Amino acid sequence: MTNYDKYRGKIYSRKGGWRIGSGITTHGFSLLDDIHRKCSVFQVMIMNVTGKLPERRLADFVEGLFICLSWPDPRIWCNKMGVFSAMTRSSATAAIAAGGLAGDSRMYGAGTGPAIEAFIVQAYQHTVDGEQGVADFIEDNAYRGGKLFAPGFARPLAKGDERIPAMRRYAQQLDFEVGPYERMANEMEDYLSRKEGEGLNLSGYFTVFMKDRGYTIEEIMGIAAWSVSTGVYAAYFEYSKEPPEAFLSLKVGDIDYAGPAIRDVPDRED
Amino acid sequence: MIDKKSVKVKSRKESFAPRAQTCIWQEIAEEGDEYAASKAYCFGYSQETLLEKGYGITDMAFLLARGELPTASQRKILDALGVALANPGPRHPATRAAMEAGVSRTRSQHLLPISLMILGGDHAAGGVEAAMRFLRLNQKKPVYEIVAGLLESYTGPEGDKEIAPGYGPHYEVRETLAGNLARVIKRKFSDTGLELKYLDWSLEMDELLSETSCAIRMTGLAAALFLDLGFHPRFGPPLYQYLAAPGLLAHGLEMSNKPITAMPFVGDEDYHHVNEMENDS
Repeated sequence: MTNYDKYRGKIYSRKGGWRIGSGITTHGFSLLDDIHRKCSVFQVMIMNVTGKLPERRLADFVEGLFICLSWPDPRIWCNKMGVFSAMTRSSATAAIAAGGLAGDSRMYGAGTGPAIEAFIVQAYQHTVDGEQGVADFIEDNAYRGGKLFAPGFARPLAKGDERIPAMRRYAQQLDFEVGPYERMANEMEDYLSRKEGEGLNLSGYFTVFMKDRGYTIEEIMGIAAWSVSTGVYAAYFEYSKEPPEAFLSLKVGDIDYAGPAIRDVPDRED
Repeated sequence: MIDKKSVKVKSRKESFAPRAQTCIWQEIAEEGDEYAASKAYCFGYSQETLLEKGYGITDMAFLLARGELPTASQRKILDALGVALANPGPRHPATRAAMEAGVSRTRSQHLLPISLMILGGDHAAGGVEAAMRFLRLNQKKPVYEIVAGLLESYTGPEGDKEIAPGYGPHYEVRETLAGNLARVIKRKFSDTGLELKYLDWSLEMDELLSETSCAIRMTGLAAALFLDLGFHPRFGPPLYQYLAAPGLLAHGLEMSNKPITAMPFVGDEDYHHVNEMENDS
């Protein structure tokens, strides 16, 4: 007998579900009577992640984050998946899935969560719970081989991120107070900005903001899981009516071959 | 304190490669038309000649991954591993995903992406990299010492907790399928000339765990043979996905022309809502 016996042929849900003929419940609410027309899709999404219906302003804040990530620019890696999907005439759903998966990256997007969590928690233990100054912490822990390695800070391609002040303004407009994680991150940003010209990145800002509201990193990553999708839509639909090879068309010689020279194929050994 | 209300954004002005570069594949343009290819070479080998000389998919996969054609023994080991991993089986979540997607009429070209994404989880193919690193770290140490240390701190089998990457229970009990297949591979291929030191060490570990709920898992078997074949741990998860693809595809396609009633749909009487009123309190 294992703990799995009780799961054979049975489902136990803390979330809710459909009772055929009597309606759909979600986390104790009736989906159509209590939620539909009264809550935003972001509230429902966050509830489905955490099990708790968040207040509307938090869902609006998350929607703001998604808008910050809704660039139509096809040069961005996740958006390129939308373009390539359009080139092969994949479905829009395949494009969104591919773009989301590309954004599950260790360089940017939701996939950076574990590294940010580890760094932020370590910084908090040292500087807020402990007595180390932010500058000393950064000098001791944010460099690898002389290069800055501070998950949650800095971004690819550019120094500075115009989306951070936009999100800060939105948080203020929604009456969110700065919590202890964000306060610490702001101090770290002050130091890194003076020394390196680097600031918080969007994932770092969102992580500390949500941690201040009690969300776990797994929940934060879950909430951000499809955050790049709307940009992928734009890239996909821009190219879905173009000729199949219209994105940065390549002649044979446009790929640099750097492998072994042409060589004889040996006979196959059996 | 810096101004938090505005920010100057400056390009890093990084130097990006002007063109994509690859060591893997070289196309030769059609004479007079630079957009059309007439021939292709893989790490310098003519694709046409590879076909003429009877090379197969295992040779090609090895060549693409490693840059050299496999020796006969490397090919036999990879082929054997391909047989072992070819089908995660109808109880595996990735296969179940393929079957459910198939029976619910997803497009057939989505069956593999769906099921391979799920197979990529850390409790499946995604765990192969950690298993390879575990083996690389410990393979020169006495197995019994490693196992003794692991057993001391092991808190499973609840939740199918692995005792080490690639070793653990399935449904909280010892499952011998992967170990049995590994022993056949060892018996059949130990005299091919390819040293199977990681497989040997892994099987010794499996034997030392035989009185526990843990056993070598398919991820552990794959990790050992990938290392014996010389692959870097980073290659482990996607190679595992590649080798498991045929079974996932077959199960998905098997369901794809059946009625939706061909798979179970749990009735309301077996669907239990727990803590339904949590949000009312």
